Amino acid sequence: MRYRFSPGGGTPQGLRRHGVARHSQQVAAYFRALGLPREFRLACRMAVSARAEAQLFELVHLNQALPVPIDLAQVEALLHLYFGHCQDLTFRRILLGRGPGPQPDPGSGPVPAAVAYLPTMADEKLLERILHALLNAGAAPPVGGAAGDAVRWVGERQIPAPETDEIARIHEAAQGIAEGKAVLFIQGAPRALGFDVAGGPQRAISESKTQRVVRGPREGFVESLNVNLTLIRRRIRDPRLRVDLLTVGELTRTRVAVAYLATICKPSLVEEAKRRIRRVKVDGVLDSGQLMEFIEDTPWTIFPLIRATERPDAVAGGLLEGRFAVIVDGSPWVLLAPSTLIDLIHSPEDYFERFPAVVLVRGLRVLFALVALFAPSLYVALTTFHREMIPTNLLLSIMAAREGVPFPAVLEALIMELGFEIIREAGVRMPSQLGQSVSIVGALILGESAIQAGIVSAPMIITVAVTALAVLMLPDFSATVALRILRFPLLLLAGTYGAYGLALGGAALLIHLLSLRSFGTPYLAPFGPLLPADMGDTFLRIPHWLQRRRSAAVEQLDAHRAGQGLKPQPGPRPGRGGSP
Amino acid sequence: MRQARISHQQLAALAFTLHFAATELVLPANLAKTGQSGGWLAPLASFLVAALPIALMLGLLARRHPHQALGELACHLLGPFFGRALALLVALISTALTALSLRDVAEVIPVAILPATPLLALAVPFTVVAVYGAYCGAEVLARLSVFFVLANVVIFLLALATLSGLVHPLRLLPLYEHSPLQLFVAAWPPIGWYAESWTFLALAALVDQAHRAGRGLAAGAALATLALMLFTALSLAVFGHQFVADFNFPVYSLFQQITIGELVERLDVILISIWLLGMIVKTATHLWLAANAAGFALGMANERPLLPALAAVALILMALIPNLPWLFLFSTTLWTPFSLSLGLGIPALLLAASWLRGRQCRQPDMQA
Amino acid sequence: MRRAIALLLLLPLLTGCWSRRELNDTALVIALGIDLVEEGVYEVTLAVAGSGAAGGGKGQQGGESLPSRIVVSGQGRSFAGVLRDIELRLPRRINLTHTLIVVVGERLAEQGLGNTLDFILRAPEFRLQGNIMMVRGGSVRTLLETEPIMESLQTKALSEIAHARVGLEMRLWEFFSARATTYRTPMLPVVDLIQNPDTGPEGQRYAAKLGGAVLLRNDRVIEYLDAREVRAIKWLRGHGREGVLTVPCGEEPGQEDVSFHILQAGRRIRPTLQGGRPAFTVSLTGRLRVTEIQCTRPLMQHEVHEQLVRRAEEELHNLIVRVIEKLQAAEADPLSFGEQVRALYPAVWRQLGERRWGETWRETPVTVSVDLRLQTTGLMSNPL
Repeated sequence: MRYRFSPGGGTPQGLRRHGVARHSQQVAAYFRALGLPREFRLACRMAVSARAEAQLFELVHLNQALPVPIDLAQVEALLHLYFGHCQDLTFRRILLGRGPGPQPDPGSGPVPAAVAYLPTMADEKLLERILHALLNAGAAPPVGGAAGDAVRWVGERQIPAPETDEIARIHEAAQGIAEGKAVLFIQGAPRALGFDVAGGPQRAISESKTQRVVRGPREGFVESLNVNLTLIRRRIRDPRLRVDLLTVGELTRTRVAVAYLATICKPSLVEEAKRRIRRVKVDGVLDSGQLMEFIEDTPWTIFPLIRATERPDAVAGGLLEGRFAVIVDGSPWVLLAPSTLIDLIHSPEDYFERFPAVVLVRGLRVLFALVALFAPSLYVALTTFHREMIPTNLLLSIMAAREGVPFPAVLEALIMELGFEIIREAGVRMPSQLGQSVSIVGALILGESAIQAGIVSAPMIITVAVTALAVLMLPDFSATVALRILRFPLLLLAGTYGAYGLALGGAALLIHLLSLRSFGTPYLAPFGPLLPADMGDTFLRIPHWLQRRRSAAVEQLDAHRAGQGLKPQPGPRPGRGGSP
Repeated sequence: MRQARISHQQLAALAFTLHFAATELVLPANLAKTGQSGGWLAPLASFLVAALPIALMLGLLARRHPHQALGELACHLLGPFFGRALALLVALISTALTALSLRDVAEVIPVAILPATPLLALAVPFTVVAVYGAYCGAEVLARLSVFFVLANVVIFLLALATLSGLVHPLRLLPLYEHSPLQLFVAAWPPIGWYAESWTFLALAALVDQAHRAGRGLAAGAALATLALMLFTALSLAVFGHQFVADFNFPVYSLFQQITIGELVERLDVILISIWLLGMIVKTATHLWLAANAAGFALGMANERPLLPALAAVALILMALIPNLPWLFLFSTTLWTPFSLSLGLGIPALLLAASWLRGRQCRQPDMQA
Repeated sequence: MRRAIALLLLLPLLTGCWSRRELNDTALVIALGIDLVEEGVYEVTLAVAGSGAAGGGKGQQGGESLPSRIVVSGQGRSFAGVLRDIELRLPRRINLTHTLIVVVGERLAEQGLGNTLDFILRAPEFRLQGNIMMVRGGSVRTLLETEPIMESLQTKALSEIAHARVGLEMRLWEFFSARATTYRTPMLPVVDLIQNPDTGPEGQRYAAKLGGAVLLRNDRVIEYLDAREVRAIKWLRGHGREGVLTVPCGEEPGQEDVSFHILQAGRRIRPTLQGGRPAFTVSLTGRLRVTEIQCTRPLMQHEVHEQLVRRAEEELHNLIVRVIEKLQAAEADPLSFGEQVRALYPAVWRQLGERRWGETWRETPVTVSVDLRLQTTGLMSNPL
């Protein structure tokens, strides 16, 4: 997409043509010097034919070996070809060195140079400082020596940027500018110098909205890769935390970081992860969720095989267990793998809260995950097939409530479930000012009126409501989606075959879960396969001082987490003789 | 595709499921009929006669030829023709066992929980799930069987706790009414069921520590025997053997009597659900074994496409079984001699061939 | 492949639901009664839960309360046939899963149950933990139509009374289990329909009272037991708790009585062999609480309460001996004496013959010993 920026509402047509003609000459000269006849011809016709310009761009873009021209005018013309004469690109011409002065000069006089950058991508303050340093530099660079000498000389002496790199190809320069670098071109030097000035506004670090905790750190990830890496590094301050950077997306050029702990995470795991990420050839990756679909083990499943989290403490915890994290620039959701099903009922808070409370809460989560999955179908199966399992008095109450309900129980359940899904989806997507009306409509129409009108029975409403609330108990959103989807086929099975259908559906679900793997780790570990050593952190959480080994489901290089004898004990009291 | 491996504990769980799932409901009535009050002891005799020797022989085979499935092993020992013939036999028997398991389900479910549902409507979805299980492979089935073992332990303890007031331990005595021979008469049907275990050689070959495969098989069979004895004993001690003998599915009827407070009035549906899980594992494993052997016999690299075909064959076989009394008669009397002679014969044959081969191979070594 | 599986899975969902039965279409049977009308013709009575059974709810909205249950009956030669016949009259399908009580008519029990109850065993939906009882002094229909006190359902009330451990409780499977053997005698608890002594609904003449029991042989009544004898039977079956023993209280036995509540009761039946023939030792133990005393003797004195407890022991001893003699005279063994011989002395059992246990039992010596202890005297010590 072209971004045109001009205060006057558009460049006058004549001016633009004039500019194109000027660039055309420069570009033609460049290609003549290189001896590329086809490009030369196209460059000559560029000013009169937009089609020729497009063709030329195609060629230039594909030929990544084109060198940086030594003439600044040619540089400017080529960059304008690259960026399509876009007004967003700034090509600032400067003079390096003050000319004859008190200091001894390596070069003779002021040398013309130019800094090219996209002002919309640059951090203005940083850019200003660098320009200031360049303009106030005493000496001019030596021009005409060995290739790149002048550029290296300036880079080493006069640019106060933390990182610079020499650029020999015009393609690299254009790419660098697009990624937020500023590139310094020096008249007569066959190389350019790129330095990072990327910046601009971004969201401040704030509390995660989706994974809230009562106790524990409140920071959440933001959309910047660098900030996210900072948040992780701050928690694991050790050189063994490795970050490997990759780029994904032909057009978006999204930076993707794979972070892991070198002596804990298995190298084969990281290699596999990087192999899968490198394999991805798409035009763009805008969020980690998009990348996730490319790198999962089994695409045909509704269960998230990779855990996504907005919380740096969860990522740090995962890294310590020998998992690796995938951070995608532009996404506050960091992927953590390998992950297992039981991780979905874990909240980061579980590790900061006292363990008896956590055991209770996790037990409730497992229970209600089952309720969320099975409650409506169980209700249908029991009332329409297996009435013998319901206590007589309860059955009589249900019968009285169902008296006069026109639908079969399955249909009733389906209608109510769908009704609830409507309320939920409406509530999620609508502007927050309208939130009230959804709850009023939902409560009144679906709850009160439906019963009053005798369309649905009260026990069914109770079942659906409990199910809906149970779903909300799970800390991981993607798990709740899986449960919500699965509820419907189970409901149909229960309506057709009763407990037989439920048992078959449950067995098929179990088989499916057992056949899943997340980067080689069985998804249902530590239950299938049964790993008794891992049971301490499943729906239980044993005290931290008892957790001496890392989870066995994820294979690590080093399984030892903590030393022996960490159980808190009163220490010896020196010289007090026992009395307090 | 990565070669799936299971541990010997998982093999034990799988063997438990294969031995126990079908016997749990069908056999206790027969045991009470022939063994009377001592019928609960009979499975022990069957274990000693059939399951244990076969498990030991298979273990020995797996130890001598680690990680070789039945087909390869037979080809190696008996030559390609007999090897393929044996693989074909395994495929046939496993398909037949699949059909029998399917029929068990299709007979129990209408009697127990869904009175009006036609046979095929029950069998088809069950077969689909079993094919899916077989498609996922033995590793997944082995893991699934661990859940079945745990569920059985839980439900047995639950039954024991809730029924403890109704148990009359004296109803388990005397151990035999007329002569000890009675026990062996009662042990005859389970012998037939247990002798099927010779087809599990392909499973034994999957065990990561090959020398423990025999132990796993034997432990699984022992556990299954123990479980059958316990469930039979429990129903005998509550109902008395005369009443148990009149039931078709005494354990099911036993679980009908369980009431937990005013909350759960009957546990039979839960028992049936757990039993179904076991039957899915059993059916899927037999199907997997059949596909495995058939794939070898036909020289296929990937046997998965065979699964739906074999399942269809099993469904047709199942539909040919006339009715429940015939199924009972077949699986308790007609099947046993056939099954036992194959069960003891084929592993022994393979062992003998393996021993002969071993001697042939060793002699040149000694000369050198 | 995947698509084929999905289609296969969907197929049964489309074709219909065979065993499904909506709650609105079921007639929930809570009690079932069978009686004999004439030779070979049975009358089956069903108490079906009505809309008012749940208590409260929508029933009250219309002003008039709906009936808590509907009693329907039909006659025919077979159980299943009658059920089908009744079903034709009801707008809903009969559902037997919640049959709490099976009531057998007096006439049927006298003439022989035969295989009328086979249906109950064969149907998987029937719950065998329901209670079985015999009605005396009226028809089955009268019992099922009787309005209960403090419960919305008569059958519920009856099973609550049975559960309260006052009378004999006989579960269906217990009954059938005994009936399947030749040496255990099945018993049926008896519900007496009596003239209504309590405040009940207007115009109701009868109330149901759970009292004695009958012993059956070959499905025919052979002996009646009264409520006191049932108490003894219950004690021998191991359900002696919650009973009351009343004995004379004065120095010399007179009008005034003392009543003991039984807090704990144990029983032990031990078979022995005497010269190749079985013999039994029955020992009963119990702990008592004084619930009522009409005389003014100092209860806290050791000799006094010892004497009273001895009297209670004697009373109980006599009762037990009398009951056992009655059972022996009827050649009935509802207490599994025979089963013990069978289990522990199989050689003797074989020699005696399983089928002829009744004759042996008539001659078998039974020694009864009773050991009661006073545990507490309640809130008061000595009587006022």
